[in-house]
Amino acid sequence: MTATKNQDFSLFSELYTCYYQVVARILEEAARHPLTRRRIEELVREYGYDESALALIPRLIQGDWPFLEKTSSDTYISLLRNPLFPQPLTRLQKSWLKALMSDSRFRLFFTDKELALLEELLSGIPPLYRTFDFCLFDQYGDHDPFSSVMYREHMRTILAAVRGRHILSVSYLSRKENILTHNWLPCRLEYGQRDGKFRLYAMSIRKDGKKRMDVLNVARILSVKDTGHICPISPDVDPLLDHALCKEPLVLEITTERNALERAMLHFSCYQKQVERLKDSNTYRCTIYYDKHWETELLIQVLSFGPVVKVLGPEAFLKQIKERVKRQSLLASL
Amino acid sequence: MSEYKELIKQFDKIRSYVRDFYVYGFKTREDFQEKSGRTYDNHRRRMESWFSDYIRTDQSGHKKSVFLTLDSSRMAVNPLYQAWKSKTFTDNDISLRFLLSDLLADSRPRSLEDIADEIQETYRRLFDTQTIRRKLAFLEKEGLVARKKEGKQYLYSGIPAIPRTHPDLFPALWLCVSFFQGVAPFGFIGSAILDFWNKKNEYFRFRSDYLIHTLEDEILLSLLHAMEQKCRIRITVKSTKSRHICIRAVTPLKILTSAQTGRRYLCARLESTRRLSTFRLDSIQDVEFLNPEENYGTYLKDFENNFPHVWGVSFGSPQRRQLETVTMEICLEEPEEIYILNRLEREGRGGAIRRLEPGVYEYTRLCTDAAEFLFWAKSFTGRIRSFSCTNPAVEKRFLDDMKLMAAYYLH
Repeated sequence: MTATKNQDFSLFSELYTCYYQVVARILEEAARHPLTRRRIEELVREYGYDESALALIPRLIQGDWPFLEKTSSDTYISLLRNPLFPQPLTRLQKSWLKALMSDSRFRLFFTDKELALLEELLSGIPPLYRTFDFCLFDQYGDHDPFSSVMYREHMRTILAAVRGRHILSVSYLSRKENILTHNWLPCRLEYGQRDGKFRLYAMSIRKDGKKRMDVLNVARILSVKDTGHICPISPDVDPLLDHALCKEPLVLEITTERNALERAMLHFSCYQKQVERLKDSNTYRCTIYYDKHWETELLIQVLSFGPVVKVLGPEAFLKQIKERVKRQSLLASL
Repeated sequence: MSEYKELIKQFDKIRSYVRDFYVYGFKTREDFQEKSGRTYDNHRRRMESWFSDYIRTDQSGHKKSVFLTLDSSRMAVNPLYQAWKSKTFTDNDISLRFLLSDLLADSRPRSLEDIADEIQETYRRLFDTQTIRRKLAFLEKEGLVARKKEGKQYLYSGIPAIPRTHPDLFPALWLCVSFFQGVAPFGFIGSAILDFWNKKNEYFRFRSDYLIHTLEDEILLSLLHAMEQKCRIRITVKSTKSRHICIRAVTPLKILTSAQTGRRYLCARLESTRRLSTFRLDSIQDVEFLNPEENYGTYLKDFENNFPHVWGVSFGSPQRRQLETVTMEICLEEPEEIYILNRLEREGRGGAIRRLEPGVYEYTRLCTDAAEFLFWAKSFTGRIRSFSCTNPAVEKRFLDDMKLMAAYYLH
């Protein structure tokens, strides 16, 4: 890339390379106890890329990199004297943190005292970018009220509870405008860029012991209180969510007309999918695996493409599409 | 012929390959026409190494296509950040990185000569002082080492990590970084911060997080610098459709980001037409700084005045000077389907809504380019009692599309 004026920061730098982190983790463990070659290989496989062992192991073991010393029992110890973590941050990293401070969601994570500390810590650092240079032009208009005092308090209570596995008593305004009060174990927060909303994935445990993962819009929480009860284990969220994946994936046929293929691939790129070209044609079959909770959203997205994206299945989804097209046809004829 | 390496020297070499694998996921070796088959093989091998957990290989007849399969709502960290963590380095780079960090961890200032001596004594490795000086200069530039003058010599010291100097900021700062690495620009920097702290994102996931945008971050940084300095720039643009390359002199004004697709665009004043124009970031190959633009304020004002009428990113063609009006009549059952009205309000980007009669609402909006409106309009298929536009081509396109859909699904 052409050299540019006043561009001090290197985004692509060896300081952030995966290999450095792999080596740091190896040395951290080698400082606590001697490591066998096998253990070193395991650490490389766990933290590195697939072929990293080929590059790293010889250099570590044979002494090209002066970090390990072989002991008499064919194990290795670290020559470094100090802990490898935490590492100090680079100017680039601090500059990024400084830029975050002007994001409207930044305050959700901190008390006022912590914010003052951060201001002081980063006072001499220029921000990497200015938030106002960006315009999110098509986000929905009803994003969460990040600057609301109540919202901020709720977020901090939720975050503390998620970390500590505390059960919360939550009063919640449902979609049907009913007030529900229930105990939930908060597990995970999901943020959607499209609508600017946080959703809390929280586990509800019924009296019969069955678990259910509920999804709560944080903005619709009316009150939240820590019950003081702690769940002994962290629930494994993904298997519970897998339950919500449709048994039959959505199958689409996409043409290359009007750049439909590229647009569709970008639009659906957040979904797990498979794409194949149909033989001797400019048509592609795209299989999308989706969460049933979001089926209506997916339906609307597919309709938006019009005739360049055709639904082949599953039957229930296709039926919904046909109903809408039929209704549209009737409206057009009036 | 050089030996295959997992790491790379320059990020832009890999950018288009990763994008193509991610977005299309199905190209075979023969589909990559631009470079040699050997180049394809090397890049494919890197993809398979970096993204091994997410790679699928599909045998279609005799062909082998490689693709990434990802569900962003299950990802703690964007796997494409791996591409940013793949820079090559020399043996001296990594050796001195760790040895100097370890040596200077006590924050005691030392001269260059002392450092060279201690490295030899403590780690039994000899480096010449020039090499160490260059490395210290690099680390100082990156903010990892402090340097001060004492008498005639410079003294170097380490900088302690934030978790040690400001423990009161944790865990809040860790949670904050865990979130913003998934949503903020240059998110991979946040991911690298988590690496430096040996921490992970455990509690946040990102619905509709379009992972691909990280590949444009080098270009993005240059554009933001130019905007901050109010500079003209020359951009090299490669059309994503035709692959045709052109060079344009522009004044960069704003980065437009789509929450719906993740695409990012540069909005700039194009000198050749003296109009506002947009360029997809993934089509920009290079950015060259030119001189400061004295009319920057005026051009920015022009953008601010015109942008409210833009539906997406198009300011319309030079031939069409008038704003276009789009009007839709939407049917819904009241009160059961009032959520449709909510959709019009929250998604309608400031269009006017009025109730014509029970169960029928009219939506109207002015646009610089009404063709961009069609995508959203068609999401109301099944409810559109009428659709009209002052641009006849847009109106015709809508009606033709509805007929084509009826022909396919109903017959």
